[in-house]
Amino acid sequence: MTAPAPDIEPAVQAGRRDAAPVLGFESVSKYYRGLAALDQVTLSLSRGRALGLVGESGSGKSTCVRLALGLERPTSGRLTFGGADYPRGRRRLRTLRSQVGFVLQDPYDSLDPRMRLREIVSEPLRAHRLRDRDTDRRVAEMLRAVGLGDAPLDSYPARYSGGGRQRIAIARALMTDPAVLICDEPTSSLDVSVQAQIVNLLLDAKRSRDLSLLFVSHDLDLIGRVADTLVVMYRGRVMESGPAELVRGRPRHPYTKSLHDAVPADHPVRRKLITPASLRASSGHPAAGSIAAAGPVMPTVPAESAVPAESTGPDGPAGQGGPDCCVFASRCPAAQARCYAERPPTVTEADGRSHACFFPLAG
Amino acid sequence: MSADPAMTASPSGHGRQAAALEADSLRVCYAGLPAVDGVSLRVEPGQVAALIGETSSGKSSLALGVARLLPSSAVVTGRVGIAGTDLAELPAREARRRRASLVGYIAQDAMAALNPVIPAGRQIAELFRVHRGLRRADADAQAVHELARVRIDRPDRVARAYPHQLSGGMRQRVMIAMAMALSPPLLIADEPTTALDVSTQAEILGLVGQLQAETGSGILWITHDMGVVAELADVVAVMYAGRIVEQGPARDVFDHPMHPYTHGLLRTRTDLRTGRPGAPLYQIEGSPPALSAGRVGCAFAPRCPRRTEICGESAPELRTHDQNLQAGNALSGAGPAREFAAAASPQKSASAAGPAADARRSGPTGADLTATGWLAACHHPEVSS
Repeated sequence: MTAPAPDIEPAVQAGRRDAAPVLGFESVSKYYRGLAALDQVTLSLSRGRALGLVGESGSGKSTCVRLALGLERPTSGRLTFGGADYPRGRRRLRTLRSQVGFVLQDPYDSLDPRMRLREIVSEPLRAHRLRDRDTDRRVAEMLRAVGLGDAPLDSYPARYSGGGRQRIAIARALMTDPAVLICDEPTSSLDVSVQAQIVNLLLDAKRSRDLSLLFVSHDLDLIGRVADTLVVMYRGRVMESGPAELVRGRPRHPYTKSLHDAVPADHPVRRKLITPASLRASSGHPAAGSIAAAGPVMPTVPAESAVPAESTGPDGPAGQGGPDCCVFASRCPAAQARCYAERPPTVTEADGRSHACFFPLAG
Repeated sequence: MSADPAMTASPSGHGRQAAALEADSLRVCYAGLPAVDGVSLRVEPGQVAALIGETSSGKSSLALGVARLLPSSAVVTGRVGIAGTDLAELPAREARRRRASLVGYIAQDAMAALNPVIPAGRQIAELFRVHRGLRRADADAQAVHELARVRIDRPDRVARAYPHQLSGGMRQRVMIAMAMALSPPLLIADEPTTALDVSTQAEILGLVGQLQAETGSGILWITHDMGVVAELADVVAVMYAGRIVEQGPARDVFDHPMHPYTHGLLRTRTDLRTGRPGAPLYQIEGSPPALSAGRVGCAFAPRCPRRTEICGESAPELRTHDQNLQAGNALSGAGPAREFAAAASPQKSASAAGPAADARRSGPTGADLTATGWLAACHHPEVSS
C-alpha cells in the first residue's frame, strides 16, 4: 500500500453520516515477535453502518478485534474513535470501552456459569460504575429487547441453549448503550436453525439503536447479508474492500474469487467441488502425489500454505513492513513474476471499491 | 458416486452384496433418556449418505452407536450390520480386532483424535502392524503410501511429523488416511470439515469425492451444513430429536423437502445466499429440544409453522407420501435422479413398521424401491402440486 486508502464507504453515503468514522484503522500494523499479524490495514466504520471483515484463519480478523477493543495497541499506524486517537492509559480506555460492546463466538465460554443473569447483564454497568437502584428494571427491559422477556433474573446461563446464551451476551453488550458493537463470529458455534434469529437480533439492534457493527466472519454468504461494506483479509492484509454487494457478487481480487468458489453448492445438481471432471482427472492415479492434480474446479492449494500467517511474516525486523510481494501470490491462479517481486498498491475505483492486486479480475 | 442400482435390485437381502451399513431400530439411551430413538438406516457400498442434524439430534450418538464405540453407560439396542457383521454379537476382543477393518471413523477434531506424541505415519503404521501383521519397516512404508493416497505432497515428511506440526487440513487428511488404511466397507465422518476454513473444506470434500470413487466404500457423513450435503451426498437423512424426520435421494429432498424442518433448513440457506443485504433473514423459530423421555407428539411441533392439534397428540410415522413421489419422478425424470432414487434403500423406522415395511417385503421392482426410498415423518408434509 503506497498511499493510505481513502474512506471505503461509497461516496453516495457521504451526506448521511458524520464526517469522521466511528471507528477507524489508519494503516495499522501489528507485529508479534517480529511477524506481521496485521500489515498496514485501513478500515473505516461509519455511524449506523455494518462493516464486515471476512477471511480465513490467520487472516488477522481476530487481531483487528483485539485492537478495536483496546486490548492491545498497534505496532504502528493509528486507531481512531469518533475521529480522535484511541486513548492511552487504563482509565481513559475504560471510558472508550463503555462505547464499544462485543459479542464473541462461543456463548458457552463467554458467560460465567456461576453468575446469575442479573449480574451478567449488569456487569458492564458495574464496571463503569453506572449501577443504581434502577438496574434490575433496566436488565429486565434489555432481556425483553433480546427476546428473553420471561427469563428470571436469578437464573444461571446453564439453563439456556446456545442461542439463548448468545442473546444474554448481546443484552450484556448493549447495556451501556454503546456506539459500536463488535461481533466476532457470533453465530458460528450455534445451531443452523438458530443462527438467523441471532443475526436478525443484531440487525434489529443496529437499526433501532443506530449502532455501528464490526462484524467478523469466515462465512461469505452470511457476512454479505449483514455488512454494508465488506473487507476481505488474507494473512494480515486487506485484499479487497467495498460495498458488500459488489465485493460478493463481482469480486476483483482473485482471493475473494477463490473464497467464493470454495463455498459449497446450494443444490446437488450444481456441485462445484466434486465434479465428474475432477473425478476423471484423478482416476487411474490413486497414489498421485500432488494435490494440484485434483481437478480443475477445486481450488488448488499447496500443502504447506495452510499454516497460520504468523509463520510467513516479513523477513525483515519489526516495523519494516511486510514482504515485498503479494501474500496471495503463491496460491493465486493469475500470479505473474511481478506479484512475487512487488507489493501491489491499494487501488480505489470509482464505484467505491478498492483492491490490492496487479491483475484484478474484470468484476 | 451413485451406487450401482443392480446392487439394490433385491431388497430382501438375498443374492446381493451386503449393505455397507444396515441399522435396524437403533436406540441409544443415556440415563434413560433416548438420544437415538429407533433409527433404521441403510448405506449401500459406494454410496454417500448424509446425516443432517443439530445439537441433541442424536447424530453423533448414532455414529458412535453404529461403530459400537459408546461407553458402557450408554444403553444401545437394535441391530447394526456393517457389511453383514454385527460387532455387538461378537466377544469384546474379537469386536475390537474386527472393528478397524470394518469401519473407519473420521472425527471432527483431528487434534484430539490423533495421539500428540506419536508421529503421524507411525499412527497409521500401527494399523498395519496390528491388523495385517506387517513388520515395522513395511508398515511404515505402507503408511507413507497411504498418506500419498490422500494427496499429501511429500508424504514421507508428513509421516515423520507430529500432529501439532501439521495444519488443520493436513491433520484431517491424516485422519482420512488412517480411517481408509484398511479399506473398510464403511466410513463414518462426523463433521470432519466443520472446524476448517472454507478453502480447506473444499479440498477435503474434493478429496473424499475422489477417494470414494476409487474405493467404493459406503460413507455415512454427518453434518449440519446443507452445502456439504449438496456437494457430497447421494441420499440424505434428516435427524431431529433422535429420529429421522425425512430421508431420500439428495436431489429430490433438495427439490421438494417434505418435512417442515428440512424445508426450513434449506430455505435458511437459500435466503442467506440470495437475500438483500441488511434485510431480515428467514428464521426458524425456537431452538432444538433437549433430550426427553416419553415425548408425546411430534418433537418439531413447537417450532412448526404447519402444526395442528394432531401434531401434539401423536408422533408421525416415517412413511412415503404418494403425491410427492409422483411430482418428484415427473421432475427428475428417468435420468440420474432416478438412479439416486433407486439407490435410496427401503427403510422402516421402529415406529413405522406399517405400509412401508410391507412394501419392502412384497415387491422387488424398481418402482417399489423408489416408492419406499423417500420418506417423511410428518402429519402435514409439503406436497408439491
